[in-house]
Amino acid sequence: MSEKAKYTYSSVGAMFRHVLGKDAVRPVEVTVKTKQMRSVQSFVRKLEAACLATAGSAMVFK
Amino acid sequence: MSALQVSCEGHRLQDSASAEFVDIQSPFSNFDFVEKRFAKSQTIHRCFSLARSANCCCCVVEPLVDVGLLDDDTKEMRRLGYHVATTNFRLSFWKKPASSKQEFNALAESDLFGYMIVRCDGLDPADPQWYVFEAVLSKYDHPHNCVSMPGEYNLAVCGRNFRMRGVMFCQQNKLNKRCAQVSLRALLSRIVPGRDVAYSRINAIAARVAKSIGETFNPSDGMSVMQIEQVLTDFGIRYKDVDYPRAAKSPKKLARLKKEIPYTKFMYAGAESGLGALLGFKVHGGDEKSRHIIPIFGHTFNKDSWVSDARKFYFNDKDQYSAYMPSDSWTSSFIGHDDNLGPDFCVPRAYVLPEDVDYVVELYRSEVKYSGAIAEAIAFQVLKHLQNSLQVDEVWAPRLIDALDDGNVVLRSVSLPCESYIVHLHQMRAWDGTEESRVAVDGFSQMKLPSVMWMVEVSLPQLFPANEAKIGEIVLDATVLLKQTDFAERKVSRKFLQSIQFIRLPSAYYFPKSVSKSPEGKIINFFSAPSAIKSHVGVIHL
Repeated sequence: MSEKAKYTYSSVGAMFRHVLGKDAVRPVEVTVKTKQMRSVQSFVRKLEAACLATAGSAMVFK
Repeated sequence: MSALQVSCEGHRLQDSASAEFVDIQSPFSNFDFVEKRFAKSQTIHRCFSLARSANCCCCVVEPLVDVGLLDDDTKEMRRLGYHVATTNFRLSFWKKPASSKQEFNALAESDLFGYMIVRCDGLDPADPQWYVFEAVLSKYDHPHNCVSMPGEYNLAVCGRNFRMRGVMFCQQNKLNKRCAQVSLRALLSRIVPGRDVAYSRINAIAARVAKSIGETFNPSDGMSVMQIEQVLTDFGIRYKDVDYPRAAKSPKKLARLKKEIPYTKFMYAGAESGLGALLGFKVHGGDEKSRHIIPIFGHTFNKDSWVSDARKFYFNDKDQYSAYMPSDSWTSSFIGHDDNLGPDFCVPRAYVLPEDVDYVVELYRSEVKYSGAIAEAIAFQVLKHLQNSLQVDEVWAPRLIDALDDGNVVLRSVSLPCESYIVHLHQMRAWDGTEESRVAVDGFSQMKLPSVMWMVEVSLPQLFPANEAKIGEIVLDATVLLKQTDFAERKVSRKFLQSIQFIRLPSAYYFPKSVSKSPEGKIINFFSAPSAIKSHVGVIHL
């Protein structure tokens, strides 16, 4: 496996750390606030529901 | 040039038996010419008007025979039972004068403003109906007139080959092509192999859909949502479409849906970094089921737009997007064609009222799996979560945090291949002239980034319109399909985490590493790495 192929997109940061060296990076912890996540979930749910509802439409474009 | 290109572009590349050189400068009258030669066709007149606006000097008129797609079109009309006797002309507009073949040979490709192939089907010799079979004209030459993905078309004029960039305009003839077919051809011809699409192929797909539900298909009756979807699918185009009346079960819900998922969001995302958009709307006075549809492929950018500030300041606009400022706040108009009226119109973003819009389609760039609207929503949440841990420099961090708190952070989602991002990073210059370090650029070059990414650019209200600049970007994997279950309560799915590639802000990059649990809930563990860019940089122009 080549050096490039070894790193998948889930480990982009690992590659960056490898290039820069361990001392150049530092950890950052971020707590996920579920209340905030709810707005993304709500938007995506509405979008998915709206986009699924096209079967059987009577409209014709002419 | 491949055999496929020749077969699809053969009608444009054919040599003509003769050429007429028309001086279209003063005192030439577009009105007289179009009235006399093309039966007052409004769309043909519109093309002449655009050529006049661009100060064109000469129009070369060449008769064409039915070859390639013109031949295919004629054969299809005859298959449908129409007794047509077609006449075609290729008209090309030039910015320099030429009154003979010899003078024409001195013109360069840069002198070409555009061309159109006009056609009369000859169904009724007493009432000739001229229409634009296709036209490609140069975009209005203004930096704030944005068309992100013009097509490239080969054509011949007087035996010489030229290449023309633009978005093809096509017009219906009410026989074998209506607004849906011509809108699809306009957008698809830029991206399919061979650079064009035969109406016979679009109609064959539509007929297959009709047959699958026990119906017959007559192209003159127009196309349904299902047929449009199938054409896009057959051509390998990913898209997101909303059929508003079907999605909402009652008039009250319909109004709410149109506010929560506004059609302009899809049009902007498609025009800004996708393959364009389709807008379907009611025609006042038309029959109950019939709608008109037009292709949208660009937008204007108005630095002095009042909308971005006023919507919060005066109108308490509390929708999904009120927590941040989408970059379309500075869009005054979308750019699109209307096959009934002509090419390259500006459609003011508020002119088509939501109650008149029934259908919208956002066409994605190749390999993109989700909408730019979702990318923006994810990016905003990532920024909000990261807000308290930002380690950006002391100048920009407080400004960004203020903007996040006030709902004033500007987000602009752009889908792009990973190679384009590396080039963008390489060319990046901060306001003080600093470049990103070679080590960092090389680091990204060595990574296996997703083939296509959503880059959601982060900016501030005074910075974005005035400097066309940003303070960073959130880079997401556009090739992973995210669903609402990925954002479910108390859950941060692996896919969601994987979709976040990294965040670049002044002085630092942030990379998601893992997810862990704590008594307070889930924690995303990032690690940060230094960036040499400590100030704002220009936004990307695709």
